Amino acid sequence: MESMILRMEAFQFSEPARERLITGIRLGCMFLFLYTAYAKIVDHDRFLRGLTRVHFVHGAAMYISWLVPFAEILASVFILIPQTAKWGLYAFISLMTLFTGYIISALIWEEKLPCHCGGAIEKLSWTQHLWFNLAFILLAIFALRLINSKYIFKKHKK
Amino acid sequence: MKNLKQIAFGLMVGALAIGTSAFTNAKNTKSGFASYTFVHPAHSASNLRTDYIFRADPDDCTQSVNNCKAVWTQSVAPAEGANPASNAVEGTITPGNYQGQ
Repeated sequence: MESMILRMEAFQFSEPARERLITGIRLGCMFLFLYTAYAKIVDHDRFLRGLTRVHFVHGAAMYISWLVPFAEILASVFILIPQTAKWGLYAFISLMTLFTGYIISALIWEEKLPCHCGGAIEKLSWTQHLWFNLAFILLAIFALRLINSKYIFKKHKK
Repeated sequence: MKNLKQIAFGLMVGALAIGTSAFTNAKNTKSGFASYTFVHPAHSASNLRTDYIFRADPDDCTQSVNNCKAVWTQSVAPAEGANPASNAVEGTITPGNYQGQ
């Protein structure tokens, strides 16, 4: 009980502000994934060429080149539907962590660093890309914590 | 009702994302202008258009204050070893010493 009260007090937001924050972060995450997924599908050849240049993925480049935009779209659909938003955010965090791991491993092991991440995001340097991903991961974690604290709050009110 | 509103708003944001992405792609391809990476093999800080040559698969740079690579935007795809076009616009410069030829 005590820990429940402590967790509730950790977020000093009014209910509407909390709702708006969660919705804003959800939409931001969805925007990012749809934006990059569309670019990867429309310019698929270029995305595939980029993947084939990375040694540790080039064997499965064809599968990955379709799997990545498909996973991004699927996560976006989950984020869009309020009932599945929580799972969508989990999928978002998992995918972004995977992408960040890919960037870090490419930075360590690859001599050249191709990035075919789609759209304007390609203009970022690898370090900027890393910070960009980390910022979105942290935002999604924050939204998840807000969602979870909301459930605790509702349960407590009952 | 509230959920429906949220989904409708989400769909609008989704459409906006796809629209923005399509706009970015169209700007880069259909206008004919594209960005290409040119390398600077001379190991100097000179920044003339003719200092740079096109390499489709450029090598890395070591740390230095010299110019190593630069992105140039132009309407014609450059041939291997060509300088940026006379009307090309220079973008980001990567400092360093170019490791390739």
